[in-house]
Amino acid sequence: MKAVLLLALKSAWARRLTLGIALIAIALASALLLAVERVRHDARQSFTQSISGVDLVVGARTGGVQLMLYAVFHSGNATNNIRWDSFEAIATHPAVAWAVPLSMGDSHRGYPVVGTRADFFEHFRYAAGQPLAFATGKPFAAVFETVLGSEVAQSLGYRTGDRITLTHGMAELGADHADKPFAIVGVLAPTGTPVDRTVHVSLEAITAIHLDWAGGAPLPGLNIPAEQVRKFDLQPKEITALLVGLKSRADVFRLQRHINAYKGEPLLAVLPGVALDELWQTLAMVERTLFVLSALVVLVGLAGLTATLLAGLNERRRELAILRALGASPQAIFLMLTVEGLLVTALGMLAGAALLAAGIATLAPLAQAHFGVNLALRPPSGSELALLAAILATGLLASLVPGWRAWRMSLADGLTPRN
Amino acid sequence: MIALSDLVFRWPRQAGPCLDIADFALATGERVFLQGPSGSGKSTLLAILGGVAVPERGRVELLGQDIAVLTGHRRDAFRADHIGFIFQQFNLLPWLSARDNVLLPCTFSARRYARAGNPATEATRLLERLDLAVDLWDKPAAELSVGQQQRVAAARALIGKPEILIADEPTSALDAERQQVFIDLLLTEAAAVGATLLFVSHDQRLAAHFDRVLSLADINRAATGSGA
Amino acid sequence: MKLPLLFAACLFFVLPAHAQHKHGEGQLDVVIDKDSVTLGLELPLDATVGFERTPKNDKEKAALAAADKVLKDAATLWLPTPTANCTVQSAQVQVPFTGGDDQHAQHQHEGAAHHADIDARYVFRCANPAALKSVETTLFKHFKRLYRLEVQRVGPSGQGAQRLTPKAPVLSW
Ligand SMILES: Nc1ncnc2c1ncn2[C@@H]1O[C@H](COP(=O)(O)OP(=O)(O)OP(=O)(O)O)[C@@H](O)[C@H]1O
Ligand SMILES: [Mg+2]
Repeated sequence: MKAVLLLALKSAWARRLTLGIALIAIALASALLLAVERVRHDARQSFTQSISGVDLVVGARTGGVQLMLYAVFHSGNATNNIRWDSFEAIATHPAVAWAVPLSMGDSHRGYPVVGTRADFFEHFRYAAGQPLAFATGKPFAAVFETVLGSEVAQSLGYRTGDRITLTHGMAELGADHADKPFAIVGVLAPTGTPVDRTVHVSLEAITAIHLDWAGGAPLPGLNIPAEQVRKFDLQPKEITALLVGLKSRADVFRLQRHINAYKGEPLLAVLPGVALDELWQTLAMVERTLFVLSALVVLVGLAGLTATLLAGLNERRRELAILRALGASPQAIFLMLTVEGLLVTALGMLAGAALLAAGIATLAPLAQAHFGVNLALRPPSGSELALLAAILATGLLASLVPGWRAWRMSLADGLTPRN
Repeated sequence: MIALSDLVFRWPRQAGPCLDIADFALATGERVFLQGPSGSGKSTLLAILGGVAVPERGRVELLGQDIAVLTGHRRDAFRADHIGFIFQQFNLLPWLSARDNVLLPCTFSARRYARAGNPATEATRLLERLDLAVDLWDKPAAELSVGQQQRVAAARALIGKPEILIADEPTSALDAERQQVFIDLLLTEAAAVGATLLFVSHDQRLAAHFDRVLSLADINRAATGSGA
Repeated sequence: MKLPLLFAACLFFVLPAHAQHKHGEGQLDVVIDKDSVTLGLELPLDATVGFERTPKNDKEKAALAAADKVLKDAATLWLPTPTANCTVQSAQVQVPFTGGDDQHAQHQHEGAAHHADIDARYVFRCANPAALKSVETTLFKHFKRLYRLEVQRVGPSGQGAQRLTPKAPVLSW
């Protein structure tokens, strides 16, 4: 038996060109399937873990999706703001451990500006509860200080000490708050979340740069220089949203109901993890379609293998008859063909996994930069191993066909195959 | 050595039997020339002797063992241990070297391995005896001429001293001169290892070299023998 | 545009508003906190007994009583991971139109005057909370008209949403 397997290997090596092509097809197909699975998993991870450690996100009453969009992804506009006293009412609720206000609406070269408090950097969590870290610098302390997300700093080439000005509204070419520049005092480490794309300033700064503004445009004739803003009351009257952390998570649904029924003004509280999960679930169709498509590609690759082996079988009829004459049993012939197919599948699969690893190693920075998806180089997960096993099992099935054909042939042919 | 009795064989999906042999025997060391027209069942008979085809009924006794009653696996092992085959052409695995082709029976049969003594030197000896130029020994079989291939095939059939040698028209792809040389070599080597030789051909001119000449039509009672 | 953002954007239109009363669809709020599991269940009355009004006859009264009995049996309704060793601490069930508690149970959803919900709250305590990885429900076996349970979950592994159906009645995290 060992002799036959060894011969099978040598024979396969002799046909390495055709088998190599089948192998490449399988490698590409496996890599595709694994990549879809990996991206699916990691994109989901990046997405649903955009925010963690925050029990509730609260905004004016709109849709839950809209609230998540502007409060977490800083995309789109809040139709309504929240009054400051509503913020205080929630922040001082006995169940609440901390509450961080967020104020949005301005931008810097396309990146959203978020007005908040320095304790944002302390309370915000992402992924599996990771806190924010400063790559350089420290949280803002004065009015005209800012902390940049890693991507903002990287793509615009900023470092701590540089000065930037903010733009009113989200348009890249909006009216400028050029008279009130901000000093960059800190740059955050990359997180793979929308924080990377955010310019953080204090709430007071947001008030300050709008002191001499009204209705979205500078007030004609009024120009309050940056040095004098301190003389004004910079306490905001309104904010856009707030993040809430609870003392005990057992209270979350109770507090959610409490906020949603808040008498002062219509508010909406959502559980961010639940909302992101629900959002993702509605994507399940797309996800599944991609997966099914790539699984089909693998099937096509394996069908190619079967076709290659079957086509080769006719040319190898003589070879098989010789092996029979030398004492190989029909079972050995069957085994020889099956093992060959299985070997090509296994090698193709491994090559596919290696291809994926290489692809991730080279493309991860791009995926991070362009799609905000964190692709990590890591050993295959349980579901990926299961996929590999499924590919191998299907490869075995695909190899059984030529094996069976060869077995039948060697029984029917005797010692003199007719071609 | 070889004894067939009351043998009937039919290929699947064939109406009548291909072979129906009452009695056919070869003595040890005998060298027999079996002739018959194309399609008369010569190759079929050899497949039965090799245990690759199994008769509907009858005894196929080789070395005192009725191989028709053996399990498939034992029959395959028996063939590997005791029989050397040479075919009309394409005897070799094209992607193996001439030398490795010769050594193949020793990897399939421990008995042939043991009887070869040192298989590597035995292969060298046989290749030398069969007059194959040394520089061809490690070339892939596919690169040899047909005549050279047939000599390698003969060496492979002879290695490990099998008791039975079966040759199915091994010379039909050779020109007349080479046929003579090849048959001489085969006969001497068969004699040297003491093998019983069953040589099948429809070429009358070769018959003269053998101890006995037999016509398949004389022993086969089945009707198929006449057609091509 | 960033991919997560893109996802979020295309979902803008598809996400159904939460906490709507839909026949056949229940809500479940789950809190896993230290060694306790709290399940807050809201079921449309229709999904359990097939009507959402005052019972008209003894048969309908019996149906309400039967539903109440099933829902009070917390130990058969909820099956937490066995190795977590969870036991029922409390089970409060409010079925509308049964006894004196009507006022609360028939609670007012704006613009949903003809709807009535069952509210229930279950608390389990687990001896080995580390092993707690799932909770299976037998609700779908008892109430054939119930085809979906939208779950919001809060636990040590964060928040999450899941949809339970008769074919997938196991909540896991
Ligand atoms: N593998 C097979 N399957 C079915 N029928 C076969 C097979 N091999 C041979 N036959 C049939 O058996 C008969 C005898 O064939 P066989 O090959 O034994 O003849 P042969 O005497 O060796 O002819 P040749 O001199 O041309 O080699 C033929 O009619 C052939 O069609
Ligand atoms: Mg023949």
